[in-house]
Amino acid sequence: MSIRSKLFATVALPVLSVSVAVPPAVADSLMKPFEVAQEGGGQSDEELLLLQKQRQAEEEAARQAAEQQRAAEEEAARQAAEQQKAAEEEAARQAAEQQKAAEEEAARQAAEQQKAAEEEAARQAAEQQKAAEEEAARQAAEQQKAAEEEAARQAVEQQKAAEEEAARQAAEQQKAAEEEAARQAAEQQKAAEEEAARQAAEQQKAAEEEAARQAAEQQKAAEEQQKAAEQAQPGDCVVPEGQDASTACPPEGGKAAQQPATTEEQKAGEQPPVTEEQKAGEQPAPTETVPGTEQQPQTGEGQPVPGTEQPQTGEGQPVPGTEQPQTGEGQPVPGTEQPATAEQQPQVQQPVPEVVDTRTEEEKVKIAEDPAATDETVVLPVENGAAVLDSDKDADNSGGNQAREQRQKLREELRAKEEDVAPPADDAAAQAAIAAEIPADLPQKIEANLNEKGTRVDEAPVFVVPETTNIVNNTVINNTVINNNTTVNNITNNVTEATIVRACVTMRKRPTMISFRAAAPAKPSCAPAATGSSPSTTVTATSCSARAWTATATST
Amino acid sequence: MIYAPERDEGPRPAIIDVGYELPPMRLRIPVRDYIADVSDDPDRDYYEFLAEPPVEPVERVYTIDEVRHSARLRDKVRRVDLDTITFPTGSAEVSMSQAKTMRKVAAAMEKILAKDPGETFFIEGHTDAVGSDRSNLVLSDKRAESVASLLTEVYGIPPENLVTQGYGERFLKVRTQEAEQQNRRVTIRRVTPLVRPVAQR
Repeated sequence: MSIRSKLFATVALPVLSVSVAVPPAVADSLMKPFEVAQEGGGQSDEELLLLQKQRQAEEEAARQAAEQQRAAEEEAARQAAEQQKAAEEEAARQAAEQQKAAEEEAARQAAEQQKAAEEEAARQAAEQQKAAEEEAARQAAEQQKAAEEEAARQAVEQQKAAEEEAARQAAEQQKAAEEEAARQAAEQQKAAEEEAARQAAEQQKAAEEEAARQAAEQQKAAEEQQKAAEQAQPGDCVVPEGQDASTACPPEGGKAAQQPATTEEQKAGEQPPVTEEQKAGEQPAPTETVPGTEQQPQTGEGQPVPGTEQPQTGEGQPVPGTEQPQTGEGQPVPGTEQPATAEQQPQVQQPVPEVVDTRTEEEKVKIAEDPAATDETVVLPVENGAAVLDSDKDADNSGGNQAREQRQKLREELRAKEEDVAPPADDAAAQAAIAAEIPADLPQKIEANLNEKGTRVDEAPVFVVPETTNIVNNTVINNTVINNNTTVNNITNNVTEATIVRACVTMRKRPTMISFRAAAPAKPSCAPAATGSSPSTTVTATSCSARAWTATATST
Repeated sequence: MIYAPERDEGPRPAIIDVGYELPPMRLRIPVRDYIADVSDDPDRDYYEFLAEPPVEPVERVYTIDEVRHSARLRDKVRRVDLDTITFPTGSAEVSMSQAKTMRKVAAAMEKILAKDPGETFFIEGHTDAVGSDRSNLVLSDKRAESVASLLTEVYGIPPENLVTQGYGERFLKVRTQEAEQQNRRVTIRRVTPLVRPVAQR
């Protein structure tokens, strides 16, 4: 161990550690007496005295509080007793008064009731008499009315019956006409339907059975209705011109059983969309119906026959899932679409017809070389070239070839009217048609406009305060007067303030004037208020703010 | 202090084409004298062409808005098709190389203005049929404006002598609905004889 290490170990390290450890310890010791004094509980005499005084004060306060409370309680009790007494007296007085009033009231009411009862009795007697008379009159009237109603009802019933009869006849006529129309429509659409039927043949097969089943009940009901109708109004049919009655009037349910020949004839004409396979495989029945058999005839209205394959009459049964035209006659299968007839189909909006130019390139070039020789629309001699003139382009866009022809005719007329006029030689010649005085007059007008002079304003206009104050000023003055109630010179103030307010308002409306006014030394903007003739604080404030604002406006 | 009413307030006035009252126009001069295609004829004397009078008598002095709204009136004056300026589809920018092709036309306009500073040139913008009507109308306006600003900034034509208007796809040069370079064009006309009385000799 060298001397230096020894020195370090024996002297330097202890000194260092002591110097590090001592300051906290010293600080700790410095703190200690106070901590002890606070924590120790050993109180000094002064503190004890202080505590005693405090306690005495607390006791004194408690005592005083108790006394006050007691006094307050006594006072409250006294007041309550007084109030109660007063209330009792008041209640007694009121009760006495009420009783007296009630007695008087009762006496008065009794008198009134008696009087009313007498009047009522008299009135009732009169009323009974009147009612008896009225009753008698009413009964007589009722009897008469009942008789009249009965007559009217009978008349109405007769009329209704007649109307029903007429309506039924009209309906049957209409139905017959509709059937005829439907049949014609069906024939017209035969070709289209054949196509549709061929496409739908597979779907149709499944749907037919379902349709037949569903329609069977419907047909039964319909036939009953028809039978009844036939019995009521037989043989009523509208025959269009040029057709015999057998085709014009399609046979109906009840009748057709006795007239199978007609049906068959009709069927031959009416069965459009049946494909060859369907005819061969599925439907032998309808065309081979034996006349006079019990089998239901094919009526041509699209009503399926129970138990048989549904014939494709083309009129009634729309093929499910296909866009078959609806004739409006047959019973559509539920769930299928009902397309409109061909007549009702919406017309496709036709765009403006495209201009078709049949001229060859050589012709176009030739026309372009000398457009004056032709009246046709001159076009650019390029492929698909548009018209040369923009007005011709407009016409082409709106009217197509038709517009071109129309314009060509107009040009021909124009050429016939005026012999070929050479184009103008210069601008002046082009405007030769303009009346001479107009251009001659125009420079003078322009000169007059150029010479027009306004009035120069050297200083800002002075805004005179009106004699009669308007509503805005009145409000302001009223406000100020309320504030100035303490002062005596109200009238003078009012006038002064009116001026101030007016001036300030005017200035705010015309900010450009501000700089003018501020620049003029002899005219302070809100001078009357600023001079202080008014004792009003509000007005002074207003004028001050106005002045401050004026200053800022000037600076900007 | 002046009173300047708001111009944009209120509904816009209806556009009336006064040209509908006139009979259909008959072109009496060859198409080549009526339309000057800059690309076909770059060495043409455009001063002479632009100084040419209208091809038809002018009935009265029209306002510039009447000329703006009536193709029939504009047809009375000849036109220069600036087809050397080829706009890309949907663009209204003119490159500097294309701006050079306008030099002759601009020089002719300068010469005309030197003779009479009150001349008015009408610059029309057009588009092809591709795109919506509305966007094409805006685009054609921009094309006319870009050519006008080019004439002003590069060639020093005073802007007060230029009137621009876009017409969208209304006046196609080649009848096609496809994109067509020839339809994307700008046209210049001298409309002074339509809008201003000319001193009679």
